[in-house]
Amino acid sequence: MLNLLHTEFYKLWRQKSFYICTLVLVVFTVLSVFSYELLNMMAELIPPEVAQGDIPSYGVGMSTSAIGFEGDMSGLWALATSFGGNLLPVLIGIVIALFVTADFSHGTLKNIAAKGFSRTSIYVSKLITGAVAGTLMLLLMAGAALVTGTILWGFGTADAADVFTLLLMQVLMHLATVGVMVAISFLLRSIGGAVAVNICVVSFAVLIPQLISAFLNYLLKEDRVDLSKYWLFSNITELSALPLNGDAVLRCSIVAVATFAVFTFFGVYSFVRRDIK
Amino acid sequence: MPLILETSGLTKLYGGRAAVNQVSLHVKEGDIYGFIGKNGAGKTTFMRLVTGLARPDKGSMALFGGQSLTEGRRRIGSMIEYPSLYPNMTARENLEAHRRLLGIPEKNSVDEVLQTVHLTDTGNKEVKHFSLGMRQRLGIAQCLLGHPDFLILDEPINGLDPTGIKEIRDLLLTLNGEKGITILLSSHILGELAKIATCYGIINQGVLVDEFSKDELQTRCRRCLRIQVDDVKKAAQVLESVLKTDQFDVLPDQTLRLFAYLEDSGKVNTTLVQNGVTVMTIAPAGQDLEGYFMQRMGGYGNA
Repeated sequence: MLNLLHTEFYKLWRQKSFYICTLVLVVFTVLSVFSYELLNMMAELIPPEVAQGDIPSYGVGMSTSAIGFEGDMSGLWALATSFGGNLLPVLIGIVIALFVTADFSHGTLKNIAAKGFSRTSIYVSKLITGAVAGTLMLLLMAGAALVTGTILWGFGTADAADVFTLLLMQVLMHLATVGVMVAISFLLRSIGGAVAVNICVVSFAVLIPQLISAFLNYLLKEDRVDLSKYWLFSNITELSALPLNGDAVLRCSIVAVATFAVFTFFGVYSFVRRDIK
Repeated sequence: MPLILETSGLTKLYGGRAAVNQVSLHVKEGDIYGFIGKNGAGKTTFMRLVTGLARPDKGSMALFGGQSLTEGRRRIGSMIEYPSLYPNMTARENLEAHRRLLGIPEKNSVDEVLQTVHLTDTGNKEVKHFSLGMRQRLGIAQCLLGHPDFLILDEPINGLDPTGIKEIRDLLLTLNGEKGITILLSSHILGELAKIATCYGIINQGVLVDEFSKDELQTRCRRCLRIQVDDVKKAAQVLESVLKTDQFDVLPDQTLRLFAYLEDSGKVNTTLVQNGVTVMTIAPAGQDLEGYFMQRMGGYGNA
């Protein structure tokens, strides 16, 4: 297993897409933080009677859940709100898809499997490497947001435990994201398919629980079912503001662990049963 | 010689059709085993079963005299279908990734195998810019990392020019002769295979139809006179008593194969006739590996 990890990390560090996606992530995160400063400057030019509603979310990595911080923008605020967009999971999905499916498309998985390594250990080694890649991307994005925000508005104040919990929860949910992406990539085995499906899962698949919820509510003639609350990517954007809501933290933890477990189980099951071409 | 690979009734089904059907194959230590078959005969599927890339539906196999398959496979270097390489890495980086996979502590092992396949001067050239011959050689270099005892090579000379083919042939002979590596090799170029293989297996529609050594092949394909007569017993007596030779054998359908007097068929014919044997046909026979393969496949029309 250690040999497998040794090889997987060697390949990851030589994967150009990992560096390109991380660079895109950091650049867009910095631009997003700047966009809030620009919005602030514009807001000062607009008479109060003209300005209505919330600040729109122009930043790629920012969400309108940041509005709670209006008038109190800081490095910590930028850090929290950087988790509000889809850019990070989308880019993780691209990196994972390219990383996992490369071995299928180049046929190099044969070199590994033919050396007697078990399918489960091959899967787990890809999962661990992908998890490290995803966590690094997350930390770099958070760092870029924190530094840019601190330069523009100062570090800010928040409960240290809350900040730590936020980071921990985001790491946990992005590990679940990695679990989803790795499983999809192992199932599809083709670069194009895996990239496309990974992006769709992050961007549009929330429609599925929403549609099911709407259908159930129609049947029950009540508006009480909201399955999208248990959708991983909805939870990621929900935990992008400080202070944290305790109920949301608990729900996010359960959703992350359950999602990771279910997708990893099916990913391993499918990989173990199928031949390697 | 101990067996390196022994399969017993190995079967692989795809959609109910047997791609490999009850194959019992034997590769002895030190062999260069030529695995012959048409496209789709089951050669690659068989190799995938041995290397663990596919799971057999029936049958069993033993590697290195019964060692566990996982341990046994660590002692195998394989190249199935085409060299599996990372196109965006250099030759050295590809081998470095494989060295780490195998947990080989000696970093100079990469240089050693690069030297063996004459690829030391490729520098920073990425594999995607390599010629087919260079990729094949790099694929073999990858197989050689970790000093395997058994190489499984699927069509390693496919698409190579004559120089490339000779290079691979010489390399395989060196590996077998000097390093004692047993090789299971498939190829469509039967003439090339005949130059290096010491044993052969012929597979057709998933079934191993024949397995024989180089010596057996020479016997089976030996040049001879095929003589069809009305009385085989009498003809045999004439050959022994009059022509003073015992270099013949008797086949079914009233036919003899005479391995002497190859350039003197007229004399044989006359002698037999003068001694009361009616000769229906007499013709020279004998074939190379290709001819024998075609015969086993049921003629050129079926191969």
